[in-house]
Amino acid sequence: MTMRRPIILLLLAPAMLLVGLLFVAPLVGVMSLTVHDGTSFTAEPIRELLGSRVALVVLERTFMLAASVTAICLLLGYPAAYFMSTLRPRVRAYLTYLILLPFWVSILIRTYTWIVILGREGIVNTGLGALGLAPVKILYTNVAVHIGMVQILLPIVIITCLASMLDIDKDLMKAARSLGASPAQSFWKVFFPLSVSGAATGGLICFILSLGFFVTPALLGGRRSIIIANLIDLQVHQTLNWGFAAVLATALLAITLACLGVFWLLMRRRVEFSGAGLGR
Amino acid sequence: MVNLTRRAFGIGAASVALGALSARMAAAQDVTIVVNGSGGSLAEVLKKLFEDPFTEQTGIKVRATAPVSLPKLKAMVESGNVEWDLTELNGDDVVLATKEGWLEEIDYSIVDPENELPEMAKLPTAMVRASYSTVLGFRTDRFPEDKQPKTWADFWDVENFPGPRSLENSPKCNLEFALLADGVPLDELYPLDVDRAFAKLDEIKDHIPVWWDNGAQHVQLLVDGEVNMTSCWNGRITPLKSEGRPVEISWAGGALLLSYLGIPKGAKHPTEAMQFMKFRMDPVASAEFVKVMPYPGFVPGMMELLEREFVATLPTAPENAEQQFAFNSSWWAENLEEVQNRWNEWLLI
Amino acid sequence: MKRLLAVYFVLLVGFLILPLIFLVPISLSASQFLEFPPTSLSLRWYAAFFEDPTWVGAAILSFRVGIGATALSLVVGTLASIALVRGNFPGKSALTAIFIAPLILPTVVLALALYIVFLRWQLVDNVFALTLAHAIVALPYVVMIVSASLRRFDTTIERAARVLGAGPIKAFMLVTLPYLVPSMFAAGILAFFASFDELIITLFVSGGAQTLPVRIWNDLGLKLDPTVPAVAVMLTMLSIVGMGIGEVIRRRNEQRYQSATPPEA
Repeated sequence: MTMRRPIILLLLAPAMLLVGLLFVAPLVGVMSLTVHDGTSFTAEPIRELLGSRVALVVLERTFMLAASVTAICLLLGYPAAYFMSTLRPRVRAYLTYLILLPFWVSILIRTYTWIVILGREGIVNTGLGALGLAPVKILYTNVAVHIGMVQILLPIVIITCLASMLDIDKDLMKAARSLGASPAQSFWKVFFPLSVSGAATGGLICFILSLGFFVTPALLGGRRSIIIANLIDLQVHQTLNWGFAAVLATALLAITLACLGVFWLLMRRRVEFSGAGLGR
Repeated sequence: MVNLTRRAFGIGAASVALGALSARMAAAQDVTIVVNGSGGSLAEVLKKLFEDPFTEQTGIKVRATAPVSLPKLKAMVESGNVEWDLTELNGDDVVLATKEGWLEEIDYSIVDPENELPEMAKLPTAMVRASYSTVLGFRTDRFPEDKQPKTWADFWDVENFPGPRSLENSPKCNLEFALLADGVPLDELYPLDVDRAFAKLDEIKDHIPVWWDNGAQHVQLLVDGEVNMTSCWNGRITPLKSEGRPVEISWAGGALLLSYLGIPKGAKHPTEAMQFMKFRMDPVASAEFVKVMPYPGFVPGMMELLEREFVATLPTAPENAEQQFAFNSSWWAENLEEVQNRWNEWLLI
Repeated sequence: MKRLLAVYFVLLVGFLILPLIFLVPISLSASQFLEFPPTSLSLRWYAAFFEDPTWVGAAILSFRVGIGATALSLVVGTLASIALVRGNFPGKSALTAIFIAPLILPTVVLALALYIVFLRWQLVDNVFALTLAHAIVALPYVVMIVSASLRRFDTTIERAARVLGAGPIKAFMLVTLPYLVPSMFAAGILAFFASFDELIITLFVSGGAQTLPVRIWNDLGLKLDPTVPAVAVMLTMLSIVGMGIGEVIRRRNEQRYQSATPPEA
């Protein structure tokens, strides 16, 4: 079904207006600081980026953290979403509600609660002590950062996966069963391929959000848990080196978009091969 | 004529030099000045003690905004659209902002017509609003009674004063503390020997599991027993002690810092802002404010209104002040970017 | 298998709401610091919320901005998703990337950029402008989730509706939109909470107006007392009560129309 140009334009107009005015236009000014210092062109910020070991290390650290958090969220979230998709709508609605409850609590305060739970003399270690076990050091390590981030991002992954699973026509699985497939077969051959794109969307949102995390690594992690958003914030607030902040942000944006491009290419392949190309 | 009538009503402006001001006030019954501060729970106290009475007296309304932000100041001055009429500023922010030309000159004939403020409170572009200290805070229950940490040398001494510690995630003050621990006398700190300070910091690095970012965090670290000692703001420890928590501070080697009020360049109502600055110098209201937040300014006549025991807990009490060093904002404004980059490299990798 | 999944699910939910469970005793502490377990109990921090008009104001503003930003991003984002999925035009991928970019860019950069133009346009301290800014952050969720769902949609059904005589708009409303409801719901929830928990942009552009995260953040510099956990607990309770009321209403309706709709459809 092809759409005519004027209609496409009409549908896109509000979003383009919003994003154009409040995203693209404002950013042009700030991002141009990457190559322009206000009076003349300069390569200083880019040189600064390439010469800054801190920036490169922190960038790498940011992507590694985002990747591991996303992997954990998908592994934990997919089965949960699948379980919810098999339930009756009303039960599912209740459970969705339960999953979303943490959202009502600001990320700031959730992070402070983890400090109380995971601390040196916190609940976990008090419990371990009562059992006669040695205390563990969790707070101010990467483990605490992962716990904090997964707790924040997992509901998002579950909700996104679930939304896509509910799109799947359950009759397809019944059909597979009636044609002699085992429950496992009907899941892996029919349900799973159809749910991949939804899970991928959830993983993608999770990954992108992880890249921008700010509060959790700063408050739950050690000194080596600082990621790129913290470093950019430092340039904006402390040293007022906005050119460097802009170049860091540009680098992050460029690398992320490149990842997205590769991801979409892979997904398109998948859809063509898997015979799940019903949606095309 | 209008001027005369106004003056007859005696609305704050007694001096002849203020004719222009009075004319403005006549035309500006509906003026609202925007005063930027730290916000939070203190905003209500400020409103009750200063802003509402000021509006009542002068007819000038006050709108409070938050938070204190140097990037905002830079953005608004450079774009020529100035949102604030008055803002709180830290010491090194004042130095930087003055150098960059982001602050208006203050007319002390309006702010301090009787010339009562001490000279050190009056910078050309900013007036001292408050003083506070970054000091050594510790858990008294973690050390034997006769062996409590007192100095930064003790903080560095992990043999005799064991246990995890915390410092702020910033080079400011920490370099000074390191040098003091290394034996540099209080009055010979500046200009800082950066190499020597970092070498000393290397010694303590592994004993610091957490570098705090904000005031709430270092309080929580002490309350939870996460660390045995930390650098901290004096005002945050007072309520801890009054709740009976086993915490104490040592003024020895503390950093005495100043916080200022300044007017952004191009502010829409600079004169009214200066009137408000004058109003903030009211000793009675200031004394009330210090009881809530123990960060005293240099308001003449305020200390006399406070109990002597309370004054002894303030950073500017003579017996406390003489143990501390005055944080040198100019040195930091001059060297911040370079030192900060080195700090990042040292801490984050 | 299903029983195993159920056990797993319960454990997972336990992990997700663990911080909430601890917030209740922390908020009931009489101390002015966050402590667990509390040494003495009191409701003073709940009272503190209602006594301080800035807290109540912040809660109301957060809801206003959140609902506005959600509605706006949902409408605008769904329309754009249709064009992005169904249309064929040059620059489609670039446009998709731009719509998603607000999620990638560290918010402090966007916040600074928005602050500079808002100063120029005199939009600082303007609730409507704040809502628009939040809609920018919420939009990527809608575009990503709704367009993913649209891509999976079998257009033959819509085509069938067209064959049966429905116009393109009517066919979309009758066939595609109902299909999109679950995704739009998911996107709307994420959009709402993206706004509800937004801090950095609001700190820059809101002027004196405080949303809940800003109110909390402004306290962090000086003191973090149990008012903050108390607010969190009250919001959670409010949402549970809201769900309870919704459930009662639904049941009542169901009874009224019982003959018409079987409950387990």
